[in-house]
Amino acid sequence: MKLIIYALALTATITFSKNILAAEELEDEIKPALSAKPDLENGKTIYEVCAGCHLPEGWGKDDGTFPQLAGQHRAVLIKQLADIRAKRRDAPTMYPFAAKESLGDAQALADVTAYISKLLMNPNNGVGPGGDNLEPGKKLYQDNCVKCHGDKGEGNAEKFYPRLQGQHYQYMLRQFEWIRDGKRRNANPEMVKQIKSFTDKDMKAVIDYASRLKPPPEALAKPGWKNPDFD
Amino acid sequence: MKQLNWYKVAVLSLCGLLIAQAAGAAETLQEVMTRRGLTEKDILAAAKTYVPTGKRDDYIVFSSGGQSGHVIVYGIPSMRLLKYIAVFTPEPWQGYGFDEESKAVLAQGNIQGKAITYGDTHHPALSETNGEYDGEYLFINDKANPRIAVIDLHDFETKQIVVNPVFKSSHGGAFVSENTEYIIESAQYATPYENEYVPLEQFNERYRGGMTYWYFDRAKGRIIPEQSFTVMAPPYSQDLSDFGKGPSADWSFTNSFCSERYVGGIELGKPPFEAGCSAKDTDFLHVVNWRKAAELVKAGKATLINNHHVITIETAVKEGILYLIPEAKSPHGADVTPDGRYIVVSGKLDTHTSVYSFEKIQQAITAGKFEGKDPYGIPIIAMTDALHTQAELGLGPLHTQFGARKCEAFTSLYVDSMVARWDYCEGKVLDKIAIHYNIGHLMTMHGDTQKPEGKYLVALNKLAIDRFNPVGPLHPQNHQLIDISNEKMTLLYDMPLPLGEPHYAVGIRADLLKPSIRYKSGWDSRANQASPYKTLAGREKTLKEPGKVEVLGTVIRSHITPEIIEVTEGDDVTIHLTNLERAQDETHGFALYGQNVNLSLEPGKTSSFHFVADKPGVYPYYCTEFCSALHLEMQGYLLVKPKNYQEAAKQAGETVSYTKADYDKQVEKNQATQATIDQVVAFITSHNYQEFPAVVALMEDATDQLNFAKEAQTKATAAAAKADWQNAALWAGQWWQYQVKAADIGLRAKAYLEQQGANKTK
Repeated sequence: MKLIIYALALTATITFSKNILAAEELEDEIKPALSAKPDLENGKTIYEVCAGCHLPEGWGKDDGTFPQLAGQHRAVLIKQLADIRAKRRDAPTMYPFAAKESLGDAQALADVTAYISKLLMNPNNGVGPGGDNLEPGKKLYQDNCVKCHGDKGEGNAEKFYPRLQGQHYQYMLRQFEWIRDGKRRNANPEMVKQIKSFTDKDMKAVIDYASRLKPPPEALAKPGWKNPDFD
Repeated sequence: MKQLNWYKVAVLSLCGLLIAQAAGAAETLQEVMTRRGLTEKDILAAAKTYVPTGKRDDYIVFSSGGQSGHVIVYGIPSMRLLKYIAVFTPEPWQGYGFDEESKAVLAQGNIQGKAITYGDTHHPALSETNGEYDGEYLFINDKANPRIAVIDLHDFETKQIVVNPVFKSSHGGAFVSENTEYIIESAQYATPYENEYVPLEQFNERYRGGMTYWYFDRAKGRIIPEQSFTVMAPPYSQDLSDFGKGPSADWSFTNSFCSERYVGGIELGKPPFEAGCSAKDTDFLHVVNWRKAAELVKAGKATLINNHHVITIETAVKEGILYLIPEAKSPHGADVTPDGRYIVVSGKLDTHTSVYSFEKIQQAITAGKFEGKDPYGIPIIAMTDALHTQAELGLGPLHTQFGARKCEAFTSLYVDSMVARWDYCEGKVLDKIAIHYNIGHLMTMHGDTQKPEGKYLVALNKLAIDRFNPVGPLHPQNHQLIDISNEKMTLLYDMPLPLGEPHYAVGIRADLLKPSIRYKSGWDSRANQASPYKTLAGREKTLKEPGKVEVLGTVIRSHITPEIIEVTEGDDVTIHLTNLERAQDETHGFALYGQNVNLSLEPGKTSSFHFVADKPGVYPYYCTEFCSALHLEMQGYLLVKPKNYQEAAKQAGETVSYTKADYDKQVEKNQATQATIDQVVAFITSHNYQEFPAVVALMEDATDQLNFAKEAQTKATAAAAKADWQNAALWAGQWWQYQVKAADIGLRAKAYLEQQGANKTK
């Protein structure tokens, strides 16, 4: 009797949980995308539409509406695209562009992220208001963020920790708040725990500090640089 | 026990689900047939035409849209409508005639300076290479205002319209030569070539018909009018044309229907045109060596009329490039067989269709064997000398198309409302089928080419009458799909076309068409080149100069950049928008309150709109083509500031702000002025001015002014002490005003005293 019930329950679960299975399949997109041999030419072709918001330079908007993608770790870009199209991360404006039908399969992910990660970064990213923020911000950063995002905010590709250096203040502020408050569902659970006790003031301070961490000079473009690939 | 109940509920619900499923199960085929009253024949027809959801058609048809001025595109065998291509008529959904780029194309079709916003389209022609369809270009004519349009099948857009320089009415176009070197357009109602008044009495002498050969440059994808020419013909009301193929490729054939050269006037008591033009038993088929005609033009043997190369009848006859052959009464349609050996002409008022032999025609020409000349000196080849065979097909034979089988032809029978399948080599009728009703043209797959594919025939019927659900007095046309893959033709499907009177159509295998799904980013689709207004993301800008604003913007899901455009009343405004999308079908639109505009921005396209912002106000704009979840939020505001609003604000703000320097300067000036005043006062007081009442009065006045001046000076000094240079300077200015008044009075007093001979007292 019990067996039958469990069998029925399982059937029901299997029938109704198709979505979860599919999502898992997509999570398996990350591995193939990482191991595929990237085609930069194709990546550039795919990137053309991303340029529509993230700009041909990949610098996004310094008011944080669109993040800077240039110079971000490939692994991070792949994971976020995969998470967005698997609906593990809520990003409605990104849905149509990240969808498989538009962007392409795991190879396409490999290609476009290879192209993006090679782009030179914005030398003048959006930063916070500065002033009194920076001292406490620095302390908070050193005590909480360095162990994953690195001393200079360089992140860690292997572990999918994003590069923070050079990212826009407003964008990071929004993401930090969502991570802290549980709105960013694909956040690393350890980070959620780590920043749970941050007040809004703390948040602004640490992000202001982070926004001023500079990428290494060789990764930066000269001010006013335009991406020649799309002229 | 609890578990048992739970189990029962689970099982019962599962069973319930299954039963429900069964109840909703599809009817069987038999049940549907019974319910809908369908026969096996019907089901066969349905099976032959139905294209299941998600699948594609085998052939694509380009049909004229008649007087709508559009070209209609549909698929075979499903007969599903795919597209309307706007050609001579503005169409807002496509932005055609609403964006500046397409307005420029339409403007090419202006007739003697007048914009004509429709076309009476008749015959579409697909471009050919070696006598076969290459799927690259489509050409179509306008009968009412003779023009030919070029449609690029890489994106299904109209790129060019050329105006016939000499005809005022044309019908026999468009048809293409084997390699699309030329597109033929033959005149219909004869008129003088010159754009001037010529009385009808001179019809025979001055009114002319003819065949225009438009030169097509494949590399450019454009007709080159300067390299085109016309072969003049008598005013016989030329009708339809066709180019030769294979052995006859250098020749073209055009029939005519009024060699009587009759001019009507029913209101004048004369028999109407229809009677007068049907009087004779035969009219003329014109046979033209166009290849030689082109060489003659190059050799300078053409005359220029309206800046266009014309080969006169005299020259044509002299050079042996124009011949006439009698054809049966009021014929319609000259169709060259796929092997190019025969020309099929039907006499619409005769039951016979004539098949002329190109070989025989050549023999007659070479041998110089003619039965006479027409009134214009053109040699006439006897019908018997040119004829291969005739076939009695039925009442009102009009047009002929060819099938895949050897010697297979299909001819439309207008009066009989039938299509005849016959053998043009033997002159034998093989099969006939009824159509509904009154067929004009007909069309087979690749029927114009050297290799017709047979399979399907479309009957383009003029009258639908009772065939469809009634929709008011103006009825749709009826395109009927007929299966010609077997020897017995079967009617498959009726398709009502509710736009225009579609005349002719062409059918091409779907895999030969390779249209793109998007443009290169920043593309001017009409000019086929990168747009000078191409804008990339992040590079949007608004350029302003006095009286002129130019916006270089972009669109992408789901925002328009810029979202706020501010201009001043009276500004000349141009908005250029580039669609940054790359995804298939991500077209955005653009409409603006108060302006007659709808842009259609396909991925990559750049379109422009120009207007004068003559009324101040608030004008919302938005994306009109549903594009995304946030489509409604894809909006913006155009703000037109009133002219004086701007000026008023400028004055208030632009009020000159004074500095210490200004103040000091003014004070200096005032001191100099004071010196002058002192001098004048000294003169007056050193004379016996009190004895002159006028001067006394003046002095009183002057004293008043000087007092006011002193007050102003005090205020100025006080302000200066506070470093309020604005007020200090203003009061110093006022101080000076009073000084000036005082000085003026004083000078008048002085002059008076001098004139009156006042005495010095001191």
